[in-house]
Amino acid sequence: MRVVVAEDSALFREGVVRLLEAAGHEVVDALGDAGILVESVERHRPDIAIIDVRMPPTHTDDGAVAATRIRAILPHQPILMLSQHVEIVHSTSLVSTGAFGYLLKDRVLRVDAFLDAVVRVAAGGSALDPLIVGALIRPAEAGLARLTVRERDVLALVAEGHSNAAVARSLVLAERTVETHMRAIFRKLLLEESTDGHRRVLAVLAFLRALQ
Amino acid sequence: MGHDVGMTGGARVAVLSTLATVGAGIAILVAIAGPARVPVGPEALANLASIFPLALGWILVVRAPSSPVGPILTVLAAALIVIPALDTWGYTAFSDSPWWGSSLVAVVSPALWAWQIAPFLALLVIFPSGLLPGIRWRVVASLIPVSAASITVALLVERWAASDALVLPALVMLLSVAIACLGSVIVRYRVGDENEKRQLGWLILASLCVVVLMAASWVGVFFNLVDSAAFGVFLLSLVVLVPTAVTIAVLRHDLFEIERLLGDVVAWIATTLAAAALVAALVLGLGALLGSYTTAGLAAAVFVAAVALLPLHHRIHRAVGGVIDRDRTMVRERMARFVERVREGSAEPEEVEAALADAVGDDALRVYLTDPAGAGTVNTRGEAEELPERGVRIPLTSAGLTIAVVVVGEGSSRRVRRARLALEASSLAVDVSRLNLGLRRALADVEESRRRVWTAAVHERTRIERDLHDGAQQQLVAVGMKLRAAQRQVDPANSASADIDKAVEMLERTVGDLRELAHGVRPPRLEDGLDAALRDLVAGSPIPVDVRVDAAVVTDVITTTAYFVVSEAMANVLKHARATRVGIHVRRERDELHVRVTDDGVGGVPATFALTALRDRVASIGGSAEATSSPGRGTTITAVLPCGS
Repeated sequence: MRVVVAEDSALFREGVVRLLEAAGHEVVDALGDAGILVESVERHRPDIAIIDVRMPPTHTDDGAVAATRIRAILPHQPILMLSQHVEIVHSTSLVSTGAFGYLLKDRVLRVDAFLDAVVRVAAGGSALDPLIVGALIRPAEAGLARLTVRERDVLALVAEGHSNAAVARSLVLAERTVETHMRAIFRKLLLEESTDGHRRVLAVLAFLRALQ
Repeated sequence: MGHDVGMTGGARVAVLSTLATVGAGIAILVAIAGPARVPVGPEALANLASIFPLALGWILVVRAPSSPVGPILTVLAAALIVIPALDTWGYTAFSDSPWWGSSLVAVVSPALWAWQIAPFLALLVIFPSGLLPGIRWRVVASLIPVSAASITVALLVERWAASDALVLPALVMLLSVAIACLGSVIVRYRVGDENEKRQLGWLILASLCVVVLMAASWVGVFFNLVDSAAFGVFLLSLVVLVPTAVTIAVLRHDLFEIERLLGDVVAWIATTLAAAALVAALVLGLGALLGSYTTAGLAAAVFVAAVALLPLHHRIHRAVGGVIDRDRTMVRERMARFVERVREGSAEPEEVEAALADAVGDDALRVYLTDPAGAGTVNTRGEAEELPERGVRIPLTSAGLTIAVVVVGEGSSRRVRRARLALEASSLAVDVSRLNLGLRRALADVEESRRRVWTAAVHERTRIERDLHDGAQQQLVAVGMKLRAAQRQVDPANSASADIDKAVEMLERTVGDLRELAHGVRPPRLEDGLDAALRDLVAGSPIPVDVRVDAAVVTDVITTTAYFVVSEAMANVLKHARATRVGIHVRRERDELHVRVTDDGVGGVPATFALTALRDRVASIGGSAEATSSPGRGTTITAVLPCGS
């Protein structure tokens, strides 16, 4: 896969680049300034752009702003945002679109999970950090209150972007059981059921976003 | 003088009186020094003192031609000397060379003394305007000559018919008329306007002195302390004091604070009488009780009276002041009431300017306080303001320092005196408002510095949060990545690989801890705005929370403060309220951000509960916070934060 990495900390940037290269991906551009990011993505048309939220020039949310601008030009460009903490105001419009991920930076240390998320997003799926999903899934909300604890666990993992198989592995369940839970979740949340994995996640995310 | 067309009636009377006075004076001198050689006592010479009221009368005729007082004074002067002159004429009958008709005059003149009093009584009735106090007083006025005449008739009847049956009724009548005339003065004083009161004050003061002197003379004669010459002194005082007083009253009634003078005199007289009565009562009482009048009893009575004297005088003075010096007493009482209200806290000392203006009756009155911080003057609102060029300045001093200056409009010296009086009575309020000024300034300084400290703290928190995220946290992640890179060189079966896994896990936990720490320092979601940060805050809440933020962008400091207000309020709700629903509402109202957290919990939480930290935070940016609650009705915590503009 061809990857563009935008990260202002040289140390971290080099680490991510080496990690990706070790996994057999090609880093076509690695830059430390959001100002030239849009141009680089347009030129390289990478399979995925990994972007730090907080970057020069203003050190606030330049990465997120650049991501939004990239999506305006290339609506299907896979993007994985990285952040030191959860700040989603500029990326909420992207959360429920496909081919989008948002992870905390330290998830990089779980190398396999990270590379898995990269591949998933590049393939048009999603990868949301559990912390973000946790903020989205509020137990107090009326719809979510009807879910059982187990159903809520399943929903969280699905919202993070995992497939039924991955959810089953994660929770040590049979895949059929996960499917049963999913049907129950969709019924309780009054969502239209879909067999397509990506669309299913997006429906869940759209529901969660609507709660915000 | 009848041909002098330009002369007024008053002046004509004065001229006639003068001619009579001069004629009588010459007659007396001739009788004494001439061939008749009438022997005279000092009283006769004292009669020459009527020159004095005559002169005063003329001053008034010239200076105040419209006033009837001048002519009356001249008549009074004439009466004072003409009747003794007639007496002297009568005396010549007993000399070697009696004057023509002196035997008849000798009979008549002793019956004329009441006519000396008549002009005084007339003066009392018409003073100071020349008009009677009312239509019914015409009777009293007409009874003055009638009663004088009746005395004359009664005395003549006594002389010729040897019957004194008429004397007592005539005396009673004269006395009654005299009392009625005095009554007219008091009636006039009660209903008269300010000027009239002040003019009458002079007359009453002089009359009181006469009465007191007369009483003193009687007492002196009665106890044989002085001889009858005391009456001469009394007469002289009558001739001097009363005309002087009425002259001042007509020309310069503003000369002294006559009400105060009069009030003081009356109060002291009353006190003296009361004290004397007390001594007498105690002496008699003790005497009756012990069966004998002892020196010890007298001493005890005097002691009690002496002890009672000052409080007695104080009360009498107040009572008398309320009647005679009503205006002054009212000014003082009004200011005393104001000071009392300041003490109670129902009035602000800064309202002293309005209170003074009201009491003095001068809307233009201004109070300037000496700046407690240094030189210059400030108004009661604490703004620097120079003393104006115009107006009369009245300083108020305390411990040798001028603490304030009151400026009143130029005008009557009366208003200035009233303002001075009011200012003295309210000096406490003035001093307090000046000290308040210093306190207010110090408080403003403290508030300003607290705001600076909190603002600095907010910025510092932002900086620390960024440092934690971009510095330490990022470094740790980078270290972890290096470890992962190193791990790739190691055989997964090697125990070193498992060690590296453990090390990376520890790093992850540390990064997580740092994230929590940074969040506590300053929630990074604030970058996304207050709405996002508050939604993030309540995301983990076990009970439903409605968040509504209707506020445009406000400064970082305000946003952060509002966030912490909600955060603390939420913590309180979750800890104490047992609520099933919470509402958070933030809205902008002009220059204020209103933050409200309501719950439907048990309520009844005292307004002071655990809000100290919250209050401090809010107060540090000049805002206010309060909690309202009643049992079973939930609690509402409201904070109002000034946003500036």
